[in-house]
Amino acid sequence: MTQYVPFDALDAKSFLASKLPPLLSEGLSDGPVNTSPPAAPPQAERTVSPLEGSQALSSAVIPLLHLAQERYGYIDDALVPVLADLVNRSRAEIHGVVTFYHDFRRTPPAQMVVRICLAEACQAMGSDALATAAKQQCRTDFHHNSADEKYRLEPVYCFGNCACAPSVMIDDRLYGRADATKLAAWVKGAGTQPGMGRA
Amino acid sequence: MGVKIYLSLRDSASLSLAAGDVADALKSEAKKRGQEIAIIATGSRGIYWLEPIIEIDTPQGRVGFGPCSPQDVVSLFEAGCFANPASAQHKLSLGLIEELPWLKHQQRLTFDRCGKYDPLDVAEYERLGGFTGLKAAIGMAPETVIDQVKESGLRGRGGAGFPTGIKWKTVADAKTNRKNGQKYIVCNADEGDSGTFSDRMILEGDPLRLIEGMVIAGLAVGATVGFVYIRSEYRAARDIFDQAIAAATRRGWLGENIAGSGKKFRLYTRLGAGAYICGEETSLLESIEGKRGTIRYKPPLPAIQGLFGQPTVINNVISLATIPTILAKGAKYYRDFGMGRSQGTMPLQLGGNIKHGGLVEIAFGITLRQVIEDFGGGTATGRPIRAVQVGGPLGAYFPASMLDIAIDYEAFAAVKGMVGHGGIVVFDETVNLAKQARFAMEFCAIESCGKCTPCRIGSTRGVEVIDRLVAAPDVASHSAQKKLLTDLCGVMTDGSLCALGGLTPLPVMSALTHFPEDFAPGVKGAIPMAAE
Ligand SMILES: Cc1cc2nc3c(=O)[nH]c(=O)nc-3n(C[C@H](O)[C@H](O)[C@H](O)COP(=O)(O)O)c2cc1C
Ligand code: SF4
Ligand code: FES
Repeated sequence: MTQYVPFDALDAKSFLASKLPPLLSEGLSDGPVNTSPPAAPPQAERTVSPLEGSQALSSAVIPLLHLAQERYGYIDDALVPVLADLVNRSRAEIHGVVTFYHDFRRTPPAQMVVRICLAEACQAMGSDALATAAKQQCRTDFHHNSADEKYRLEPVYCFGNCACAPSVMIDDRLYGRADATKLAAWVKGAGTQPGMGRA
Repeated sequence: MGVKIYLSLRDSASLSLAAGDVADALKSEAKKRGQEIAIIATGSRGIYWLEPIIEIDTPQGRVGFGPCSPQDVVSLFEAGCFANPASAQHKLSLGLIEELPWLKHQQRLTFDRCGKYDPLDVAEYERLGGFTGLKAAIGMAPETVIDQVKESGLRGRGGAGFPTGIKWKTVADAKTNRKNGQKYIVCNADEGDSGTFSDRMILEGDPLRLIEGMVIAGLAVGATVGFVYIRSEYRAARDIFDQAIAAATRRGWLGENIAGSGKKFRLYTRLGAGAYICGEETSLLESIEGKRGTIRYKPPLPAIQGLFGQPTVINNVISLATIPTILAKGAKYYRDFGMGRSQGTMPLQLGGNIKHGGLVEIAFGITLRQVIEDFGGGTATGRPIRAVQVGGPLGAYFPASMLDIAIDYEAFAAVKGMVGHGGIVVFDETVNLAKQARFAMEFCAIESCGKCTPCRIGSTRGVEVIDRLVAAPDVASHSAQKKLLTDLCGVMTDGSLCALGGLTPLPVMSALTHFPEDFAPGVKGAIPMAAE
């Protein structure tokens, strides 16, 4: 179960602004870019010219959207103009990005996100039946939250766990060789089992 | 520090089989017994049918026990597996790991270190021969590095099989479009193909190898910045890779003065956002630039105008991770593996309904049957194999009768298939190929970037036509729908801007050609095509 900060446009503004500066230096071979219009003097001394300021700003969009979704759980429509302002792009462009990528949700997620792999290697090991079981277990359909906001079900096309199919992910934990019985236990136990996870 | 125990705790797949819980159990049981142990977190060797494997050093080599569950831990201690690993008897005993025929019969060049050591331990990587390739490259003229790559015969392992050396030469010769502009090395770690996991294994299990390959690429073409674009399903891999960048930077293998050479190279990671199409190189570049992942028209090639309009090398993880071996051991060493124009080794990934699934790196030329039967041991369910899909969701389905094709780019093209990124997905006799063909169209519809009509609309129409074909009540309507589907596939093949729309017909038409009976459940006599 993941705890999110309730969305608030003002909070989003300061949060995103605080995350932007380190991203701006990425892609440059020598340090941060100055994005304010008149180039600051040290700029002239660079041996390698930086990205244009607008390019650096623009390339921060997807990392910022990920950070926002990690914080708020979804991308509120009211975040779009805030981000557009910050990176000097139109709202339409930012909206376009948010809606293009499957990862970005535009409504708050449920308490637990259950992802089922529906790609071929998992199909070969019965992911269809698993998906049906998951729908019953979570009392919802793909891309939806259950009525009690407890579960959200999402399809995924491969976790790179195809030799241990079928695969499911519950919140951030990946499970292999899943079946309906194990899934029920995992969904019940998620968050309670320690499992050292990563080293 | 007690007994050293190696466990693949950095590998997502091993963790998905409860390797983390095994580690917890080991620690608490050791504490209870007052026995000192040190768990070393490694990547995986890719022997997934035996993971989680506990490995312990002995004078003869590492001995292994697996597949282990947390419940096995007490008995492992009781059998003396940690006190006397070489002589301990236990039902999970695997003997010397490197003597397992499954591993011993492979030719691991790119995956030689993966799974053996803690991939964030840079000093250990160096001890195991890491950075030899980079050191060699630093001592060479950039053109010589490129010549080595050309001579090795290495072709892109991301799917298209384009010669890597030629791509690098184009970037080396290209000029940046503004004064002092910089060139880029972009690593494609989107690994969107279902049935594949070799990129993930490198990111998690031997990330320094990829870093080494990217720095060499930078030196060769004159690029000072690199990006690694990692799919968002691989967040855990990204975390490890970021730590590897930091560790390599601390030891001077990245940064302003690489290994004292005065050369610089900086590396950054970017996370995708769940779009299969962003594995296509131009779409991937759009995504790094913060835009919708729509395909760019080519030309200009990314090698001429790539990231931010600058000359850019874009290569798959495995292509780049293979470079250090070529530089360290020589182009000829690498080229001598393989057959025809498919030189070197291919990390194949065996998944789906397979008994012994995992990573099989082997020289090109082995047959599909040898891989599936000798390494894979047949299906997991024990039922006969009916179909095998090679090369991800855009790869062809082959019937069991066609498994004698050699793994070779040209041999696969000749039978209307592709090796792609080396994913092999096995299905038993319960598979329905009409359903698989429908899924291929459906997947294309979900993932289409929308830029061109044959793919954006064609994929949705494709799903509908397949539904009608399967529901056809008589021979006449069945053959009419079949003709329609064939035509549609022709239009998608010829008229799509990129290979998503262009190759979706491959799984569809291969299913229709090799498994016509699945498309005509209700029509007797509708399958004279079977003889074709
Ligand atoms: C729809 C589509 C998806 C692709 N996905 C990937 C991918 O996930 N990983 C990859 O390395 N290449 C992928 N490619 C191939 C890339 O466009 C490109 O050929 C490759 O990154 C070049 O690197 P290489 O020469 O080292 O293979 C994809 C291509 C298409 C058309
Ligand atoms: S084939 Fe599909 S994914 Fe490729 S450019 Fe056309 S619409 Fe986009
Ligand atoms: S196909 Fe399901 S994990 Fe790869």
